[in-house]
This record gives sequence, C-alpha cells and structure tokens, in this order.
Amino acid sequence: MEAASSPARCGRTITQEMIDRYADVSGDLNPLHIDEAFASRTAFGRTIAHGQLLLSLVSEAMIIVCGDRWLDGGELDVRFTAPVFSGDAVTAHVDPADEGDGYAVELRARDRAVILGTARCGAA
Amino acid sequence: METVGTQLDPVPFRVTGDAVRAYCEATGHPQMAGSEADQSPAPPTLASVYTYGLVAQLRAKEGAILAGQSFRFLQPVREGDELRTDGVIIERFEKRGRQFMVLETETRNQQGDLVCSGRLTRILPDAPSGEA
Repeated sequence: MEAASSPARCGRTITQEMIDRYADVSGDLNPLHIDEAFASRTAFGRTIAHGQLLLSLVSEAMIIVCGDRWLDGGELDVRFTAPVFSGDAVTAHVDPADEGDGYAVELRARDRAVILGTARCGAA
Repeated sequence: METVGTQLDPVPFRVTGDAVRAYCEATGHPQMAGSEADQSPAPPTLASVYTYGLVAQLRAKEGAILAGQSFRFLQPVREGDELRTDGVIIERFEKRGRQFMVLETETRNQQGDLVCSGRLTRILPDAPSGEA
C-alpha cells in the first residue's frame, strides 16, 4: 500500500443507525448514545455518536497519507471537543503539521471542530 | 469507584472476519485487502472494540463521556489473531468541576507481541447514585 504525500479528507454523514450498529459491535451500550429518553435528560438533549466511532474516519484518512505505515507504527492522540449528533455531516482533515513530521488531525461537523489532535505514520 | 492503580481484568478478543466486517459496516471504514500470503489486516481503530471490554468493567458507565483517546498501533492485527488487552487506571483528576479518569491499555497477540497501546480519558457522569 503506497502512501500519499498530500493532505487527506474523509467524510460521511453519521446516522442513528450507524450509532446503534456501532453500539452492537463494540458493546458500548451507554444510553447516552442509543436511548433518546435518557439522552434528552442530559446536557446534550439528544443522543450523541460514540467518539470512537468517529475515529474510524480519522483512521481512514491516515491510511491515505501513511499507507501501511499507519497499521505498523502509526500513532494517534486526540481529544473530543464537541458532540456529534445523528444527521451531522463530518469530515476528517489530516494535514502535515507545521512543525515536525506528524499530522494535524481535525474532525469537523456543523462548522466547528469536534475532534482535535495529532497523528504520525510509523517509521518507513 | 476505581482508584489509581486499579488493574482491570484482562479482556480476550478473537479477531474474526465477521468482527472485522461488522466493524467496517458499522463505521463505514473500508475493508483492507491483504497480500496473498497474509490474512487481511483489520482497521487499526478496531482497537476501540477489542479494548472496550475494559471500559465495560468500570462502574460509572451510563452517561460517561469520552474526552480523549490515544493509540499506538505497533503491528497490524489480522483475522485469526487471539488478542488479550490489559488495563490499569493511571490517573484521576478534577477539571472545571468535572471528574476525569485515565485508563491505559496494552494489547498483545497470541505470540505475546504488543500490537497496540493506548490511553483513554473519560469524563465521569455526575454522581446522583452515590458514585464518587
């Protein structure tokens, strides 16, 4: 798998069906994600996507920039800055960092960053 | 409530084709092709699934929020691998009136090779039921 040298973008729209399926696959049945009645009583007011569901988009973008070096030595460090709701269109932005040999990671939804962090390919 | 130093029970996970396909279908992550000599590698972020058994052991689950996640993918995980993930609570702290917990994870394959390490930071829910 060859790596690309340019920034990468990956996007998709998050649906409640995806959230429910991720809950089943991962076992993460936190009602904040899958129970509208429970979530409506929280500060979010509705269900939110699992943060780790969203990391798959970042991984997909890092595969574009790193190729196999993402699977073998790749590093990811992110913080979750805002919730993602069903119906949100999210896009992972992976760009060469201003300093060093890593990448700046940003996942955007509703015109704001919902995930921010850094990533790095494994050694060649 | 778990304190710093609490070791969680190790979590086994067999990487099956069905598990990888289900992950890809749920997330939209493309499945990855292996060479003829190799089994297909799993998406690296399958780590969020094979480490979840540790999070499931934590007392405060309902309403907890993921605040941060780091992973280091040390070698590809492939269908047929038998994984074991160990976890320990390494930090607890308060920030702006909210309680945080940091869980460190290490996943090894059937050869004992470290395939993934990570740190997961959670914001704990308010404690109406007596959680500290």
